[in-house]
Amino acid sequence: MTVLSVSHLSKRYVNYASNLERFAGWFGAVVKPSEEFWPVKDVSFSLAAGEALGLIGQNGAGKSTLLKLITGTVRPTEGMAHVGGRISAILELGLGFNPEFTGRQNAFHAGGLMGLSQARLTELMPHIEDFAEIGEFFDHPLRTYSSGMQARLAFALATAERPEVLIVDEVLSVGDSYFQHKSFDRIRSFRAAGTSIILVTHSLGDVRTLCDRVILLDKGHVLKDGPPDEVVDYYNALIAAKENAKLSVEQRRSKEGWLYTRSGTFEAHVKEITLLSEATREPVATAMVGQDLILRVIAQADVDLPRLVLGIMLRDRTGHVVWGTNTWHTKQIAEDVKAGEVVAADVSFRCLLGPGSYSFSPALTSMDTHLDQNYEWSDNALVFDVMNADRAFFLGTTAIEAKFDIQRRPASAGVDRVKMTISCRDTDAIDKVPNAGSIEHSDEGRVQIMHNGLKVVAGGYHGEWMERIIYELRGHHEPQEELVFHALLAYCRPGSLFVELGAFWSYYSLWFLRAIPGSTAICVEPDPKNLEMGRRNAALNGYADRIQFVPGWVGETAASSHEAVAESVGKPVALEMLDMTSIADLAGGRAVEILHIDAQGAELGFLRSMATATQTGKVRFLVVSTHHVSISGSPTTHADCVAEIVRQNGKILCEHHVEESFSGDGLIVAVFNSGDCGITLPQISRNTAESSLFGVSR
Amino acid sequence: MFRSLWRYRHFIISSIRGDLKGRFVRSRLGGLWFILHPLAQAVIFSIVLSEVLNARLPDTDSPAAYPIYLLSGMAAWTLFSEILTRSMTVFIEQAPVMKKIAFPRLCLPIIVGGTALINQVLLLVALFVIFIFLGHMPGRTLILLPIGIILIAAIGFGLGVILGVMNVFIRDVAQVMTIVLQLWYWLTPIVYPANVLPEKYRIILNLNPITPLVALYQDALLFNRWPSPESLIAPAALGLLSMTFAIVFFRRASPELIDVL
Repeated sequence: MTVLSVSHLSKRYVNYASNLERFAGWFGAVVKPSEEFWPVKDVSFSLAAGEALGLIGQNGAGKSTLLKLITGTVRPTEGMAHVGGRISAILELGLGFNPEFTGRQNAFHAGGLMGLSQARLTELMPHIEDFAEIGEFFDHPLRTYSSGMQARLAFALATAERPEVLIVDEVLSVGDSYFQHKSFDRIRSFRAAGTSIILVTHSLGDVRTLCDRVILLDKGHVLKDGPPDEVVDYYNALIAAKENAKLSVEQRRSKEGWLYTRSGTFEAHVKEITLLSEATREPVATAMVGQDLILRVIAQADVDLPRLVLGIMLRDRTGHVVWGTNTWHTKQIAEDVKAGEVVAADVSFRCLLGPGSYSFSPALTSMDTHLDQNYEWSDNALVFDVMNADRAFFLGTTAIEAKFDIQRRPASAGVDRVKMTISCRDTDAIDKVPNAGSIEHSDEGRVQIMHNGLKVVAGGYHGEWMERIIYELRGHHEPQEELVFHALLAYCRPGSLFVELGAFWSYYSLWFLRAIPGSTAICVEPDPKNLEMGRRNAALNGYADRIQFVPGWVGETAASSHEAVAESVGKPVALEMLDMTSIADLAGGRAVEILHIDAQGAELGFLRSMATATQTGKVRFLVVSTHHVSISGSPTTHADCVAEIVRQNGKILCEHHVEESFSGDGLIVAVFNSGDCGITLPQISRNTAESSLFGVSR
Repeated sequence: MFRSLWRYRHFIISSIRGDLKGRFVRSRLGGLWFILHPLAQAVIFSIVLSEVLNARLPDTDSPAAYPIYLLSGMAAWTLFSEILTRSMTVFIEQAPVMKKIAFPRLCLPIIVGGTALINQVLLLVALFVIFIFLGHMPGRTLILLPIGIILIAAIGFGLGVILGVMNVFIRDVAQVMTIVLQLWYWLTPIVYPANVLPEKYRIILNLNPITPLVALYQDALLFNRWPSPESLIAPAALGLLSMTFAIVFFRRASPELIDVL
C-alpha cells in the first residue's frame, strides 16, 4: 500500500530585478524573474507502508527542500506530494516551546502547533509524560530543564501519536544513549505497525543499518534510487571522483568529516592503499563484521634508503586508535631499498570491528617511530565503513565474541503446592535431556521441555504453578507416578496401544509414543479446551497422527449422550459416555498395553465395566489415579478401586493413597496377566497426611 | 482559511498566554508594571510639559486634565504601534517554526493582535486606577471606547501584515517604519492638544487617520464628549480596506514567503 506518492515534484526559487515586480506578480502581472534556481527538480518516488527510506546527498543537493515540500511547509512549483494520512516530521526538536511554560503546558502548546486537538492531547498526555521520563520536572517550567530533558520531552511529544509517515532529520543524536535507544525502539515499533520512515542523514552507516531503500539526490535530481549498499557505494564513488581532481592538496576534510593529512620528507611514498576481501580479492568500501580482509599497501622509495619501516594505524570515527603496528615490531624491516624499488605489503586480518566508519593511516619511516626519519605519514589515507549484516546488534568498536546463556524460570505461583510436589525427588534418578524443565521460545510460542525432550505448551497444564514444578523437577510433574510409569515402559512391547482416559494434556500418551517404537494411543477427554491442549502438545512433537483424540465421558455404562460440567466451559457438556466395551471397540480388537485412567472420580465406575476385558487379556497394565472425596464423592474410592481390581484377579504392583501423594491423587498400578505378576517396580516415597494436598481428612 | 484558524484556536490562546507570561513572570513586581509604566510616563511628561500646556486644554477645568489627556492618547497609540510593529517583524522572528512546521501562518499576526488587545485592556484598567487616584471619573461616553479599540486594531493589523510581508522581502521596511512611526507619533495630537498647532499645519492632523481615534479616546476618557460620527468614517474605511487588502496580500505572498525566509 502506498502511503506517500511524490510525482514530478519541483521547486523553483526566483529572484526579481526588483521586489515591486515580485509583488506585482502576485496580482497577475506577467513578470520575468531575473534569476531562478531549482533546488528540487522533477522528483518522483512512492513509499509503501512500513518502508524505511534513506535520503542522502551532499549539502545543497535538495534534501531539506524535498522534506519541506513533503511536509507541506513549502509549496511545490510543479508536481505534487500526496500523503495518505498523518505526516509527522522531526526536523528540529523543541520547536514552538515556550520556556516559561511547564512541560505539560508546552506539550499542549506545541502539540496544538502540530495540529493535534486539545481533546486528543489530553488523551495522549499520560503517554507523553511516561515516555519522556522526566519525573516531576514535567510540571516545572521548561527553562529549568537540561537540554537532554528538553529533547526527551520534545521527542515524546513529536511521536505521541503514530503517523503514517515519519520524517527524521538527524536529530536522534541528542540525549543520552539510553534515550536514543528508546527513541529508535519507538521508531522501529512505528515501522512495524506500518509507519513509513524517511531518514535524512549524513551517516552512511545509519542509512545502511536502518533503511531498506535509499535515494541519492544531486542538484535536485534523483541520481539513484535502490537498495542501500548499491546507492551508498555509488555515492562514495561519486565523492571519490570529485575529490581526485584536487589530490595535490595536502590537507583536506572529507565529506564525512575525516581529515586527510600528508606529511614527511617524501623520500618514499605510498603508491596504493586498498582494502580487499580475502575471499574475492576485490576492493571493498564497506566491510562486514567478521569478514576476512586484506589491507594492501604498496610503497615506493624515491631515493636510496638504508631502512624502510611500514606502519599502519587503524582509527575509529572519533580518532581513537583501535590498533596499530609496524614492520619494525614484526621484525620485517626492508633494508637497503634502492630508489624506485617497490615494497608491497598485504596485511590480512579479520574485521572484528563494530559497525561504523574507520580509517587506515599508513606511515613510512626508518625506525619504529616516525620521529627518527619520517618519509611519509598519511592520516586517514583509506576510509571504510563496517556494517553489521549477520550478527546480533551490538554497540562499540570491537566485535567481542560474547554469548548470552539465558534461562527462564517460571513465576512462583502456588508456592505451597509447588513445594510439596518438588519435595519428592523420586524422579531425580531418571535420565534427562540437558535442557529439561527449561522454557524456550519457539514458533509455537512458549514451550517447556520435559525430561525426555518432549515439548509441551508452557503453562498449558494447570498454569504457572505446574510450570514451576516441571522446572524444579527438571521435566517431571508427578514424581511418584512418573517413577513407576518410567519403570513400566521397560516392559512394554513395540507397536502396542496406549489408552489414556482423562487426557488433559496427553502427556503420558506422548511419553509412551516416544518410548515405544511403532506404538499408537487413544486419548479420551470430555473438556474441549483440555482436548485442544492435548492436540497442541501432540502436534508440537509431531505425534498428531499416532494419537486418536476422542471427546467423551467415561463411566460404568455406555450411553450415547451424557451431560456433566466441563471445567473450562463451566456448564454441562453433552457427550458420549464410554465404558470399557466402547474403548475395546475403539481399539478394534487390539489389546491395551497400558490403560491409564485419570477420570476425576469416574475411575471406580469404569473399573467395574472392565471385568470382561481383563478376563480376556485385553488390558495388560493398568495405571489408575484415585481421587479425593472432594472430587469422587466417596471417602473410600481408593480402597474400593483396589478391591475391584483384586476382584477381577488383578495384581497390585504398586499403590499409594491420596494422603500419601506428593501431587494430589492416589495411585494404583496393576497387572492382569499371570506372566507379568513377577514384575517389581521401584520403591516410591510416601507423603504424610498432614503435608498432603488435602490435609488430614478423617 | 477561517476553519483552519478555528482548529488552531487553542494554540493561539496558549501563545497569547505565553506572551503575557513571558513579559512579567520573572520580574519581582509582576503585573504592577502595567500601572507603573504609564504612571511614570505621565509623571515625566506632566512635569516637563503640563506647566506649559495645561492652560491650553479647552473645555475642562480638572486640575489633572493634562496627565489624563496624555495617558488617554498614549493608550490609543500604544495599541496601534504595538500591533503594527510586532506584526511587521513576527514572520521573521518565527521563521524557524514556519519553515519546519506546517500550520496556518495567519495564526502569527492574530497572536500578536490578541496579545496587544489583552495588554490594552489591562492598560485601561491600570489607567482607571490612576484616574481614580487623580480624582477623575470618566463619564458615559466611555461606552464608545470599544469602537476606538476595534478601529485601531483593524488599522494596525492591516498595515502591520502588509508591511510584515513586505519586510520579509525587503528588510529595510521595518527600519524605515521605526522612523516613520516616531514622526507619526508627533504628528498625532497625543502629547499636545490640536489647537496648539498653527492653523496651516492642522491639515496634517486632519489627514492623519489616527487623529480621530486618539480624539475618541480623549473624548471618552477625559472630556466626556460624543465624537462626531463623520470623523470616524475615514478610519473605519481605512480599517476595513487595510484588513481586506492585508489578507489578500498575505495569501498571494504566502507561497513565496517561506522561500525567502
